[in-house]
Amino acid sequence: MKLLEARGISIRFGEREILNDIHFNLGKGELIGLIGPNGCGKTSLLRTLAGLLPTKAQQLAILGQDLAAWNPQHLAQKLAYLPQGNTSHWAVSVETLVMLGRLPHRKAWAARSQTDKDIVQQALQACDVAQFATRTVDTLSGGERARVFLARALAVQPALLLADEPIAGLDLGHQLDVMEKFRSLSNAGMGIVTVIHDLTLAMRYCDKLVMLGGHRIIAEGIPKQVLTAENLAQCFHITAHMGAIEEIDYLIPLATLKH
Amino acid sequence: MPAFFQWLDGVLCAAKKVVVQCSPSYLVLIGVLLSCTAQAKPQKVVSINLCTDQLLLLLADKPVIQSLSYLASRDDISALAHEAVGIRKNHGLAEEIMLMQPDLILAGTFTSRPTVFLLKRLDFNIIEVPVARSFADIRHNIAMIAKALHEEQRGEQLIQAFDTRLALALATQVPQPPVAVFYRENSYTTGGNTLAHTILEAAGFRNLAAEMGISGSGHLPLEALITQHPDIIISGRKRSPHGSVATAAFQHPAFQAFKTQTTMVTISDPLWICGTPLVLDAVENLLKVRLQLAATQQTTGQPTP
Amino acid sequence: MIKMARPGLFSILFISTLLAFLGSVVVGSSYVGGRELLTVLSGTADQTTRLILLEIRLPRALLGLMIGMTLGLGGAVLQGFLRNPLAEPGLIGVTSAASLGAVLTIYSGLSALFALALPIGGITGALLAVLLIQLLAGNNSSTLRLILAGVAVTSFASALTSLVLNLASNPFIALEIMFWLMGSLADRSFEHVWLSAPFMLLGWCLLLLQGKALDALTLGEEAAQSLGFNLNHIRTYIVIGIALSVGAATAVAGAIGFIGLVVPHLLRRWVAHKPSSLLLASGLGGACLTLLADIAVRILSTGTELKLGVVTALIGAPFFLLLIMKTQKELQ
Repeated sequence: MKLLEARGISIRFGEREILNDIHFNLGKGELIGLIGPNGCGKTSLLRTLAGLLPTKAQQLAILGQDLAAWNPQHLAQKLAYLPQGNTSHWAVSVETLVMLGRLPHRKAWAARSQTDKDIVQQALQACDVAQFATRTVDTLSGGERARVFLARALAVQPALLLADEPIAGLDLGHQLDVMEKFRSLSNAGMGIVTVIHDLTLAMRYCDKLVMLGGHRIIAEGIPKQVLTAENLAQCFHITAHMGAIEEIDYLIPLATLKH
Repeated sequence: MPAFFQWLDGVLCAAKKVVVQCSPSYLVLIGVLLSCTAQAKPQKVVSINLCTDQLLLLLADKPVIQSLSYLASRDDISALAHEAVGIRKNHGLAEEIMLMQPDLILAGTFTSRPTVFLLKRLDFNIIEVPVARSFADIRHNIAMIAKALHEEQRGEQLIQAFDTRLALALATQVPQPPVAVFYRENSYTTGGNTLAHTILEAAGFRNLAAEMGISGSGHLPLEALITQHPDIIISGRKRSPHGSVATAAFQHPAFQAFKTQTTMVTISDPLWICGTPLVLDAVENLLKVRLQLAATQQTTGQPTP
Repeated sequence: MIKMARPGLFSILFISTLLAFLGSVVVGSSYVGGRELLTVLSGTADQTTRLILLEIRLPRALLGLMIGMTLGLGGAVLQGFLRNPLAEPGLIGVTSAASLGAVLTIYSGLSALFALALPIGGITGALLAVLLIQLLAGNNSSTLRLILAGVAVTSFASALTSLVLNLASNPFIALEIMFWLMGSLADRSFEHVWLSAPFMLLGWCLLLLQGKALDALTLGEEAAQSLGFNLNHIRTYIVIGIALSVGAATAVAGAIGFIGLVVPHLLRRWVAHKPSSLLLASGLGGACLTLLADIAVRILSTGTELKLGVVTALIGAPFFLLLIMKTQKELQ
């Protein structure tokens, strides 16, 4: 069964066309990287896939069921969306914030159960943030913050995770940590779509890449097939050097192309 | 919460029963009869409104008056401030009035609404006296309060004296009544359908504001005042010697210049505010002004240019 | 530490509110006080004492409690929903619309006919405001649009209130309107309690039910939506809840400012900034503060009673400034 299946999605904001006729599939245990230049519609596509933007009937199926047929709360139990920026409007404690991930699993008036607490504890440990569970979010560094918000998404125990630039602004070590975490989650069966700008990490960790540009998908498939010189030129207007060290591929941008 | 109120109701009912059972039943019966038919003359009367204060002072014996409003002894607004000295004052709060245990409360129809409704709810004998806009209203209000006080005869006398005095004033009519206007702080004027208008007409003046279509209180632009050129301008008594924003219009150069071409009249405020027989003082004062005006016009032949 | 603090906070708030409520029953312009309260409870009080305590002070205290609760809760809900600590219950226009409705009954003379005319006018005004806001904000979850709609309704209603004052042909009416606009609980009766209580209770239910959605909104609108919350529904519930409760509160007591702004602000740190925990705490805090302010009104007044709205603003404004200065220092 496909976790996500999009058939011909088009997104417009008023007169402005963002994306046109996008087809997209995500299978169980797959980690897909969404790449493309700024403003190409990556975030819009991710939000659409999360069911946050309106789609036409039969255009988007999540876990084999059409979006319209989903009860919002049930969908929220299966799908976690991690927006860009890791915003917390109030200075709540880390534990409280991560506990928010349990909201879809609790009834309207139900208090948090022992199971909820255990799952939150697991999520905190999995993201290596258990040691500052009682600290408030506003006292965290950027790296700590990113891990806490990931823990929040994991506390949902979703079947699929849609993450918007989860490693933006992190130092190299934390970038690796998060991508490793994604890899192990997808190995355990979770389907993950992540917007990512670092093409070396994208190449290294993602099963598939989807390259967006000019309102459409330029290329998709396994990373090496997508990140060709022509595609990079067309999508990012760059030339790049690609190589490998100890079987790890890398990509270094060399120059921008002037038309 | 509802349970609490049920309990409260229960307590209240029980308390009532205790009272009834403790007193000999015939006494209660007489008491009920007395209070129901309300034959007894009120012995403790409280007024919470400036105007009812004055009517009460005119109609009741002093010992009967339990309390007057705190405005009653202010001589800048009450025509009977002097009479009110020495009588207990109230601020129109239900609690302080209840404690006086009055058997009659006089209130106005506008002020202290929540208090009036609450006192009514608590079964106090309260009458609401409307604002008087005409001489008929004054007669009506006097009769209304006199009846409540069981002083019908006194009320009757007061009305008769009022009518006699009024008739005398009305008898001195002259053709071509001069035009007057009220002009006060904040360019405030008084048009038709007001007590002041009634007073003005009785004294044989035309009310400029009413003729300009103002009903009730309104604002008269300085410009309109000057273009309409009334024969007399009536202002209230000056309150603050240092002036204020409200009196700015009086300091205006245009007004100062215009003042010399017309007659300025000052009439003490308390005489206008409330509908009591004392409004006739205002009528008579204005009548004097009109007669003076007529005398000047006769000597000069024409009204002042 | 946080877990220990919370039950403590609620008991403190609960006990203070209870004491303030008792204080509100015991303190008044007359001698009637604590000892008389005992005689009433034991059923041996005389008629006057009973009436003063049960018919004048008790409804006043109950209204203080309910209105304070409404303002505290409403403020906490709106601050949570808009994620803005400067939001207050009047922001969406309900207070000014209710004031307008009430003022119109004074102007038209309806309020002189029966006691409930004025509060009914106020509630009608508040409900019309909701319709207008829903119409203006539309089926759009954007909070900015809600705020703009609120500002529009507020300024329009205030303008109309000024117009009514402007047109009042009788100085007595103008004075009455001015006094009413200042907000007061003086001499309200059980009629007012019965009229406003159902609206306030219904409003509270709608607002208290939004606790989890407000928690989810900590993460922003998208994340809250992805947690299964329909923001359009939540906005509608909140707008209706505020209109019912705050509208009814304004209808019986006039506009009482600052409680809904200051109380959530003050208590937020004590509930570890969690929006859902703030709701009840802020409600109780609002009730306590309103009751205390209403007691202050009676103690401070010699002669003419001060207006409650004036006192809350006098206490609230400097206090609020202090709070802002303190938070600024913490940020630096």
